[in-house]
Amino acid sequence: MTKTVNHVVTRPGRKHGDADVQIPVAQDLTTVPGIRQRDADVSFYSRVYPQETQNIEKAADRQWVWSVYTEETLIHRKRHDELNEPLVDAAAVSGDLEPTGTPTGEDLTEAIRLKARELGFGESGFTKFDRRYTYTGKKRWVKYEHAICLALEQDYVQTQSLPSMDAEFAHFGTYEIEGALLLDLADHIRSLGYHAQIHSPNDNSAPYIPMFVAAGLGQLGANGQLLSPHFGSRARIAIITTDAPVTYDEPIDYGLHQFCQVCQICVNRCPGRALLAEKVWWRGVEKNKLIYERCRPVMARYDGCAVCMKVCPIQRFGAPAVMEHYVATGEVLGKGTDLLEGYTFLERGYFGPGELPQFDRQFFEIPHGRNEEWLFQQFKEKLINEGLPSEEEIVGFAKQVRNILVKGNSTIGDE
Amino acid sequence: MHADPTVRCSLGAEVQEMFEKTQLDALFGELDREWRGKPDFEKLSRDAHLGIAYWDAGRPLDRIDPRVVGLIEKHKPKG
Repeated sequence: MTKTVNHVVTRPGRKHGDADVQIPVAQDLTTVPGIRQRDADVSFYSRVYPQETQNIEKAADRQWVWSVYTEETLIHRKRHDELNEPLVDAAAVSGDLEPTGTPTGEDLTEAIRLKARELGFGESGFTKFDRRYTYTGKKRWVKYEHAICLALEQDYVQTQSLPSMDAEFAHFGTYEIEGALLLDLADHIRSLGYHAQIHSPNDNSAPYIPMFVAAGLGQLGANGQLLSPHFGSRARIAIITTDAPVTYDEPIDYGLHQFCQVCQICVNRCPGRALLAEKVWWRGVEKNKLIYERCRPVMARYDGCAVCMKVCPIQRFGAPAVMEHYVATGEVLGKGTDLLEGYTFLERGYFGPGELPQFDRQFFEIPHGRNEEWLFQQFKEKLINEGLPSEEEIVGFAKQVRNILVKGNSTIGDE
Repeated sequence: MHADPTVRCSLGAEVQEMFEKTQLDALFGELDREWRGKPDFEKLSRDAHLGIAYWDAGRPLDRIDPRVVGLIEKHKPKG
């Protein structure tokens, strides 16, 4: 059934030098540019319930994952962390570096966008760095008000093998490349006479997706990931903030906010049943909210899982093809097919459309909260189950708490 | 584990089978053997995914690389 087109979005081609693409948005998929939100609610929650990075808030399970990784994952993660550490460290102090060139006062939007494309970033957009989203531990770290949102595409072929180590090589490899490219782009901005602070994809200062949506680089998908027009969620995202004069982009309605409600493939195919069909209002934004505790145990044990990325038609085919197909037929391209919905889940074998792996309740029992919170939870359970601890056990508990406090909380992570 | 060959009603009247895992494995296996390491491999891979999706949906393949169309014709379900 042919659909009526409400509007057509024109975007640059996937790679630097490619022709522009047209994305037709059907009338029944049209909602609002960006995402539905209640601005006053976003402000209220950011003030009264400020967010902290999951690398701190969920530190207990982020430490636990190392105990369930496969041997191959463990080796690769350690190697990646060694390679990535200098890039993350350089990003952390990048905002303190002084410009090397002389500022002219000219608007640098297009010059920076061009340089970003030349370096290989698939998407770049400009918006205000929305401090309402800044993580508690980074509030004093963020220096400049303009955000340059940058997305680097992850390898197409490797990603389609998800879940697999090959896809994990692409995942972590993209971060390694991106970390270096961000240093290059920041250097370029300094050479133009302005400051540039790198917000690493592995040491996030905020949830970046809201700013990518505000800059018109995509919309939030039902899988909780940014769906950008060319590569959907197959993107690794980062931000550079700057004091260079730039012009902000506007949010765009690609039709994806509503398309996800029609599609629902990621919701139906999620091995952990971690995705919800209906949108909810969360911290002032209408979105499909992921259940972290259903996702994490699967991610950790199954090569990063990411089935929700693999089965997303926007990721697989790109928004131009998917939206054109929807307008022509009223159908979701690839829905119900082995091609899009099938996946092999390591030793559990192949799962075609309508088939999902089963996990028992124990599978989802993982440590929760911060390290000290999880330690205290275990202590309480011990009290209840075994009565008063010995003096030696209490001293041991105190030593563990002290170790956590001395070590501090790291904001660095690799999601 | 997988069910019998899938049939779907595509664009109204036409009913056709869709690619199953065995056929997908055969097609992508051949693509991999013939093209991996060559400059066109990624483009052909993207076109293979899009072309199969179009074929499954009963849509024309006129925007798909002819080399991929050849693979689809070779490995498509024998209805």
